[in-house]
Amino acid sequence: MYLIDKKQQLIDFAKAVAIPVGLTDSIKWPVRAGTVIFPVRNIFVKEFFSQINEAGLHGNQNKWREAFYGPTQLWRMSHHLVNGLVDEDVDQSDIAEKILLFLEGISALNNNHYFEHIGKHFILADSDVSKTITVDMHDNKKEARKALMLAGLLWSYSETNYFVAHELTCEYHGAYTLPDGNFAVIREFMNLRPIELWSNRDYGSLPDFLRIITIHDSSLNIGFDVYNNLFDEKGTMATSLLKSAVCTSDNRSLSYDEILSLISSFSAKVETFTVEVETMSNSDIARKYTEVFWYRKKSLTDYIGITWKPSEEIYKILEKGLEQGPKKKAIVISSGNNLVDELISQYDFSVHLKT
Amino acid sequence: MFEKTRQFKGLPVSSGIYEGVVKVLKTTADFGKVEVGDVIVVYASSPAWTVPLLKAGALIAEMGGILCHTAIVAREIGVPGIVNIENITNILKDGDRVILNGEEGTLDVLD
Repeated sequence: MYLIDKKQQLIDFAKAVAIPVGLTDSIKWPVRAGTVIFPVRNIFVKEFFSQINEAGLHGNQNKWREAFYGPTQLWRMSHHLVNGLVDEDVDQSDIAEKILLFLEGISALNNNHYFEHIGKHFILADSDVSKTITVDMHDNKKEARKALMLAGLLWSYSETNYFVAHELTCEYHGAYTLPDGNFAVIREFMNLRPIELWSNRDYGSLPDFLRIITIHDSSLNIGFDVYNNLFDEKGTMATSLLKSAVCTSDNRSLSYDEILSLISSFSAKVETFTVEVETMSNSDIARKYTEVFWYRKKSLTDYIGITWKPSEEIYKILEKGLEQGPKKKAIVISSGNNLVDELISQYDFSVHLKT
Repeated sequence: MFEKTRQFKGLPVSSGIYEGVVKVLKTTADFGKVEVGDVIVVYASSPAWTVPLLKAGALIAEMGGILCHTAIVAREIGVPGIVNIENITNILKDGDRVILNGEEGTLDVLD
């Protein structure tokens, strides 16, 4: 099964990336990453692949798992990596090879699947799913819905810390089929107190990690794209098929009152941090975005023992580049074409793969 | 007795049919006017809109697509939602009564 033809992997990669990129909103908060990161995107990409090489990840699944914490961490930067390679005028056959290397890492982090299967996102092996779901569940539907509300709020909270880099906080996976036929969706929220990025912020007593597990009726029809976006394409509301839920911290099931308290605490922080970002200057936002971007590969730089922070030289290039404006668009959309189809053709490097 | 007087079409992003009273939110200062079950109307994505959304019965956004921030959060929280209705934050007024269909993308204003 895993000896899938390399060309087919590249075709699948293009489709997988094109869907979330093509369906995403044209307006992002606080700004679209591409509009501020373009002057230094190529530097990020060069550093990234150089550091993967330095870490000796190629061909070693365990090392991939030590250098990254989840497949979404890689997937959500994939279009930026391709755009950066195109910016750098890298030979197209080399881009194809780098995408395959990238997919090797995703496979290692994704329970040996390089690609999400039919909308499911299986990180855990079946044997590990039941071990994860061992805590007391809130069988009361009202209580379970509060847990889902907290999940929605944490998605927003992650944006106030990491902008569009949701993968730095959120890893969603499932829907796993349980022995009784129901489905489990697991949402993990990590790095909830990024003091290295926002040293001025008061995170109070907020936890750094939370896990929310929801159990749904077997008729649940939701899936994920590779960027970890949850879909209910046929109009099935995950909430209406919700049977039970649990929120855990430090492997302890939180009470209903504790969930309400977290909703209150995180709501206050979302409001405060949103206002803080919206009052920043454009140049400060661009600088912070760059910092967040470099933070995306912090686990890799930690693994090889170097700092994750961008150098001052990078900020100078950023400022100069923003003054001058973009030299070219990495991906050019022909007018009248379907955006997703156009992106598939733009991200498909399979024809350039050398045999 | 209410009658449907105007209908708008947007992009359905979170399923469910809901009837309620509109509150148009333009800044975070407007959060205080949201009551449980209101239909909140916003321009575009901002993380702060999630806070009133937790109390709301449905969401309407002037901008956005199926993967915009507000759509993602609406699906998570389980409130019906429609996005991408041009100028809706100026057309609707606080207190308007609407029926929103998050499967068809229709929005009926009742008078």
